[in-house]
Amino acid sequence: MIVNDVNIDNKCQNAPVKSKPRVAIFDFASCEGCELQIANLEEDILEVIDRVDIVSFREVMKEHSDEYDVAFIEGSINRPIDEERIKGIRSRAKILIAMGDCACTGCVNKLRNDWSPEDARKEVYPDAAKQVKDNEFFNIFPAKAVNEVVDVDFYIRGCPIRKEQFLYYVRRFATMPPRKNMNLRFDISPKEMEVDKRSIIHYDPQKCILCKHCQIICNDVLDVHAIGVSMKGNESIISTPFNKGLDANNCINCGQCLVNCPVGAFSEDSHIEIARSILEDKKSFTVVVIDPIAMASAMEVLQTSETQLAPVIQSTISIFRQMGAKKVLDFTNFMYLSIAAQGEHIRNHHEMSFASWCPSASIFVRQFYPQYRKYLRPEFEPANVMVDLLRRRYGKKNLKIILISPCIVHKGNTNIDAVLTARELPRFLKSCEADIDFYSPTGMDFDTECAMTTTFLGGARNDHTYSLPILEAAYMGKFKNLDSALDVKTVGDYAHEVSYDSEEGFFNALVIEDIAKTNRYLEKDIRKYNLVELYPCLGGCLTGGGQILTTSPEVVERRKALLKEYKGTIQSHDKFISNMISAYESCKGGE
Amino acid sequence: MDAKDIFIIDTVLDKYKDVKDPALIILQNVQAVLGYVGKEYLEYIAEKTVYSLTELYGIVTFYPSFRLEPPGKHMIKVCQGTACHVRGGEKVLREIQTQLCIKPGGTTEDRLFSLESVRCLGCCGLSPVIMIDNETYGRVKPAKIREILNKYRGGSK
Repeated sequence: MIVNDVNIDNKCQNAPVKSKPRVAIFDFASCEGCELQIANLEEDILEVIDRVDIVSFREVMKEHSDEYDVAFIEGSINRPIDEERIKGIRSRAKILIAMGDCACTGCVNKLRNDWSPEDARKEVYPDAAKQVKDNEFFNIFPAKAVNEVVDVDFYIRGCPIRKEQFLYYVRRFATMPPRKNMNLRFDISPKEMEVDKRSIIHYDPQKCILCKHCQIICNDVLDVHAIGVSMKGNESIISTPFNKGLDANNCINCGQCLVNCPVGAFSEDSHIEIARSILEDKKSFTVVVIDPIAMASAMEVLQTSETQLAPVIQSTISIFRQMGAKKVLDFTNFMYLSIAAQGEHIRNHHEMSFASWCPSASIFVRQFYPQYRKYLRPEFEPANVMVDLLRRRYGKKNLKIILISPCIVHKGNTNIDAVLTARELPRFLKSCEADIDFYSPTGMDFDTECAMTTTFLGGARNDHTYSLPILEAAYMGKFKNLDSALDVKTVGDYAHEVSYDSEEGFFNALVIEDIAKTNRYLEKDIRKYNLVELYPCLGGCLTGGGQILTTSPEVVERRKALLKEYKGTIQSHDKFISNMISAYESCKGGE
Repeated sequence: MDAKDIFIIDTVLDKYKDVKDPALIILQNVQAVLGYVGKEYLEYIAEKTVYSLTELYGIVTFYPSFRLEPPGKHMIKVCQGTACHVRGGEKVLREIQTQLCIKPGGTTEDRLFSLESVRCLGCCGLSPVIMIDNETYGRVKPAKIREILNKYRGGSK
């Protein structure tokens, strides 16, 4: 590099000296350990000052200049005066880099956020509370990470940072002058990790910023304990115990780590290529099954001017038909069939059974409560009903099933050839150069061969996407006439007991909406219940593992409203159960 | 994991059952008696306490004093303190690493040696210093390493 510079200088003696990038290093609320890492660069400091001009670095020099290209920020933002200062830095710097865990996530400084600023002040300055009250240096608000106040271009994580990571940026900016919105690929691997081929969820430590959202969801919210933080400092990674694959551990494939990852460090097994090759294969009989719940979420990313769900689904159906799908079906039908089958089962059996709805719930029971394994009825899960029915109807040869699903758990179902999540569908359509916003007069509706003429307007009664339909089906299956209301009793946080007492008999169900709390209920004798339903995801399928990241409750409400409107267009029917069962039976008979 | 190990862990768990947040102290005690906190031990502790395997694994990997593998017969500590660093402690460490094919924190395949890099051993006048079990070697040169290690290889010690 230096040799080259000399050559250039020799060639054009009069050329102006190329200016070095100007770097400034600032600290906010922090221990200054990351800056110390830079001060401790030892012989490498020669390289740093050779490649860049350090114009401000309070820890090691008293000179200061407001003219800089790159600003490294250490520490979190705690006071209005800090906020003002960081905004000033942002406006002057072309590139702003958050350096260290305090700047990247707020880290230990955020521990204080559980208390009010007044309480924190009282705790730290008990004798001088009055004096510090009106002093702007002690005027604090809840601690914020740098990216909560200003835009951050790059992150260097670690407590403290690794010297190599700082040097990496110095070298890159020396060869590639810093400019606004520049795109750098960060290629320092924090730690090699064993990769598990069987798992449908993958983790990329290079992208991870260790915000620990996934760990909180997995351990504290769901109580599954599949992943956690291991190692420390800049070697820390999210991992399973002993780095085994997720499948080998407790993972229930709910995909909540994936949905809640702000930087996409978790990713699912992509089925985009598989789906495309299936559709291109003219020999196969391809059936595409679309779940409207996935479409309600995918709509947020699809470039469409439509505000309603029905036209978007119709265009999607049309696109799949043009690509070569022989049949396009609505997944909702199989959900109703599943409900019907379960209602029928409960009517004929007096034993307790788990609601067969979500495969994740089944995996959860199988892993954590093996004593209840015999009460699971996986054959009634909608996806399995779907596979069963399609195989009966279209034969096993050449049949290929593509499912558009709100959850990644179906990717583990080997009977379904390809599963596209709400996140994958827009990418799939883009890679096929299909445009959702077009008008096609034909082929816009679902095939009705397997569909029931009657559908049931449900799901809107509960906060979760689908809750009472199963129960209601169960009750209707048992009692034929459901003349009075169900008795819903809240038995604890997120758990309800639903019972119905009549001349025909007594029926009792338990609904647990938060599986972290299951210990308390499942360890008692649950065999007294006829039906037990578990929810692995908080918020149900609307915020399922294959959906687009939900940033606010309003988004969930919007999705719910879209679905409600969509279902409202379909005629509802009261005696849906008998019709569906007879239809299911007739499908079986046509084998 | 045999009955003796289970008895030891049960005793430790029983001793600290009234302590608030006993994870660290349980792991320390198990390691003190059994020499390491292996996978089976962690799984057993996870089963018996409120802690999940994930949490225990996180704690064990966070603190360098915990070992997941049984230690070797002889423990080699190589000083990387300031004085030893200045007088070539790094070269000594590198030489031991190449001879034993392990990194600090690792154990050789024949379970004879475990290697650890430590800060000051308190005898800077003898730097660079290494310590094998309880014996200290001062003024160590990379060329002398093979000779020192061979003392322990023949089974004489």
